[in-house]
Amino acid sequence: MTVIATELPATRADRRLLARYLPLVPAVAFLAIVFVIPVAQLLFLSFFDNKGVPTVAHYERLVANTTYFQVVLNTLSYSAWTTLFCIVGGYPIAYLIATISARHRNPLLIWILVPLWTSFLVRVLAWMVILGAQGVINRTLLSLGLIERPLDLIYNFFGVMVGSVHALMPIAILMMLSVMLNIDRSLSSAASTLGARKSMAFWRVYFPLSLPGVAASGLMVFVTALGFFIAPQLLGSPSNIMLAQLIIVQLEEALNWEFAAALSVVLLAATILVVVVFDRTLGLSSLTGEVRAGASTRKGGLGRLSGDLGRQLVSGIGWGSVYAGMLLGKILPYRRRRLGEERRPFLWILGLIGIAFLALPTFFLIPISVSENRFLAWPPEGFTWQWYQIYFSSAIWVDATFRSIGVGLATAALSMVLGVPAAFVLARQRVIGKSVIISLMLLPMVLPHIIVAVGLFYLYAKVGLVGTNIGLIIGNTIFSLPYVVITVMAVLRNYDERLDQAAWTLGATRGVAFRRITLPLLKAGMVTAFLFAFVKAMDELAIALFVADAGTPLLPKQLWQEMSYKIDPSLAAVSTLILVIVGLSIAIVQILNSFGAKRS
Amino acid sequence: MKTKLRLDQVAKSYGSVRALRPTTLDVPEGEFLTLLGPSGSGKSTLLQILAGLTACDHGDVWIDGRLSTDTPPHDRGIGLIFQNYALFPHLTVAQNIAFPLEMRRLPRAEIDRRVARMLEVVQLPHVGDRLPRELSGGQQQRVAFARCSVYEPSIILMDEPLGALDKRLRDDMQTEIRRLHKELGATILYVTHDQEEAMAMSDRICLMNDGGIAQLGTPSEIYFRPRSVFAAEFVGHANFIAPTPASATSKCMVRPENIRLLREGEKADTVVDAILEDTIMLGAFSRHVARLITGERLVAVNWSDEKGAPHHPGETVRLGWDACNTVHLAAEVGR
Ligand SMILES: Nc1ncnc2c1ncn2[C@@H]1O[C@H](COP(=O)(O)OP(=O)(O)OP(=O)(O)O)[C@@H](O)[C@H]1O
Ligand SMILES: [Mg+2]
Repeated sequence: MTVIATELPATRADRRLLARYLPLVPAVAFLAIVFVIPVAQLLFLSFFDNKGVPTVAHYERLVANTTYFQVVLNTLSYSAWTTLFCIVGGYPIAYLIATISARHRNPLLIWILVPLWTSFLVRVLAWMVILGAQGVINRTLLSLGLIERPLDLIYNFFGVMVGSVHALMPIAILMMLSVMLNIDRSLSSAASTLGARKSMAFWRVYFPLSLPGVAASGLMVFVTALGFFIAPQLLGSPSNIMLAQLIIVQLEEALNWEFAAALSVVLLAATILVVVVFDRTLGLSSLTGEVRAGASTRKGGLGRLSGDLGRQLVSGIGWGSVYAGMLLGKILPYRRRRLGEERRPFLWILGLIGIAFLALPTFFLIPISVSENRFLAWPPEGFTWQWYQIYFSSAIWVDATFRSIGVGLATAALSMVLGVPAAFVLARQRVIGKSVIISLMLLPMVLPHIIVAVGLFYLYAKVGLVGTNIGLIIGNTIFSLPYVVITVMAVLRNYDERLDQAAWTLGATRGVAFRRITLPLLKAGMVTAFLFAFVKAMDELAIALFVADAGTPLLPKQLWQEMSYKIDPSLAAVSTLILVIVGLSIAIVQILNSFGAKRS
Repeated sequence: MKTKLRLDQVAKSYGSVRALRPTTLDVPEGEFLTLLGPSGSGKSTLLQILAGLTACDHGDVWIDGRLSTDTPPHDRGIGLIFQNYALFPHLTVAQNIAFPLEMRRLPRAEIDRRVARMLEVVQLPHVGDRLPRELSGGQQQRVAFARCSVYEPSIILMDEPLGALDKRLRDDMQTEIRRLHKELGATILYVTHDQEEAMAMSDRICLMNDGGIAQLGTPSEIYFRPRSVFAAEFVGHANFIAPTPASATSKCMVRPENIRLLREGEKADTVVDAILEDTIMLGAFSRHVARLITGERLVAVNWSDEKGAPHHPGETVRLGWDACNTVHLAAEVGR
């Protein structure tokens, strides 16, 4: 009897424990097999020569030749500049969106989401149309007589920066916004009743509280930029290449896989270094929007010192802006403002310029796609459907489109199947090693895609998955999964669990409560997560380049190849079609969201 | 006494919701005035307008005899304690309390001295280095109070500062706030929807209903001389009785403690027969509920009487009260 009595609770507890961890298993196992192992293998490979003999020759070559060192430096400085511009440009936009009334927020937010959901490649193509020698800016300035010869806006550092900042700023804005929206508005009011002017209240209270969001988006942009090769390749100068481009060259032209692996290790090491430093100082959990306010004030020694310094600095800036404001008030014709009149003209100007920079460029592709001129030149001439005809009559484009959509849908479905249960557990249960699991789930988002793609290619080469749809779906799911997990966790965090409990006490079984209460309330969030995964998969170039082969055309790969060699308006036509697909997706989400809002 | 605060025909609407209808209110210096009223009656709106956090649509605000309608909050010198305290989560308790002093550019040594003294006053000398979220609700409340009074504003507004605390802590904090009021000599506007709290703390109570002032007076005026059915019902229990034909009022009201359960031969100005429904002994008092023949229920609260004959539900009793305790309520004027 006693034996049974002691064993029974144990097994029951075990079973409950199992039930709690079970939903995490598929996602974790998936990532372990197709993400962790291939990347680890890649590291391993870099220590062998092409005959399988262990060697450190690749690293010696790296160190011996200063060109490679130069490439690493280039990559770091390129990432740093991109981060700086994304943060400095994105902060006012995020701040504007966070502090306007909820009614005006969504219309502005849409213009951040549209570029976020638009293919990188399409956006780069748009910048080619705008910045090129025959592009919008040069042609306009020429026709106005402001310049005599076209300016060099493209195939240099400026072009790369514009393209990269445009590509990465939306995600930076959203990450800052998610922190800003959680800042209690009454804190700013409190500061003002305690004697702080508007600018002072901002610098001393709002700005420090928004810093976790700034840090998280800084990390995200920096790390993504480290592995970014699209903008540098298509908008940059061939003499100034990045690490990721070098890896591609080694793989595709030199066919030196082992050296490419060594380069990947360098890239990976740089990335991990950044992530570890970040995690040490601020915690990776701020990536999911969890604010750890005042983390720096709790540390002794150096941490406290830097905290004090930071406060002094911020206070100094605050007083500076207060006096600047007073001075400005003295100089400018000053009308005593009525209380509650808050116009913030500078913020609006900055914010709207930023939003225009993000939202408008892609629209220039639409007139180009029906222009008769065959060199993407501005302004469009005449009207023709021929570029669309070329697209529709090209077997390879149509095949690529259907395959991309199919792979995208399957990827989104697989990501949901793996990600939603995991997100439920991570958002609601206490599990051991939660932060490790969350980090694992988010890691694919911050690691350079090219490393994962190359690692996956080696693995697939062994098991014969190269060029298969299954292989593509698995590869894309690695990158779509984090978006699903983040989105669903964010939705769950805003979901009041007491609603479920209320349903149970009212007589609903768990299943019924889930179906009748939880699911309907979470529907819009789920659809968003699905579409997010779908759009990301449609746009995933690294996987398409290394896992697909000639027999499996995909949209991003096709676009990339054509953009690298010959550019004609049929690309603009394809891009316009992609825009239409994305536009429809966003419209669906909006309709569902407003439908959900009306019902609740 | 000098008028410290004056609202002159101040009104505020949110779209079609009239949060505050034209309101005029004078608060003398040093007064403890409580805004009491049901949820949504415009109490917070009134405080926000006084603090300058919300602009009013009409009317003017005067502070210390100066027109201050358009003065920004940081220039008003008014302390406001928020319902959720609004302590800065990234600053320690000491830094929170130092904030208003830093805004006034006081020398560092003076700031440190005042912060330390204020922490003593609110009896939290050891928590200066902690973050707000590491404090209990009551401690946070006291820090909010310290932060708001450290720069010695002459006006302090408090929006339901004790709402989140348990009963015992509330009692302690009420005493504390009264003490600080006396010590600092500040004018305090205090919002609550707890009538006992309002009675216990205030010099005057401003009873609010539906975005307007229903009645303004001392606690005993509000209790014994309510001027409307709303005022009579909101504070304490009200027994409504049919008005005598001679009087021009719509309703008459008697407080339970003024209705006596008459003994044999005892007299009163008005006497009615009723059937006792229930008697509850509350210690010093007993609460009787009785039904008149007309169907109305009256509640009487009398001293408990050990020697008198016990009362049983169902028995017929005589209830009586005196004319001086009858309050004539004005007919509800159309709003
Ligand atoms: N920002 C706002 N937007 C729209 N309506 C508001 C806003 N603030 C208050 N109201 C409305 O104004 C009215 C008065 O609100 P107020 O907050 O002043 O009430 P209150 O007396 O403080 O209530 P409570 O005791 O619940 O705090 C309410 O009907 C409320 O719905
Ligand atoms: Mg209120």
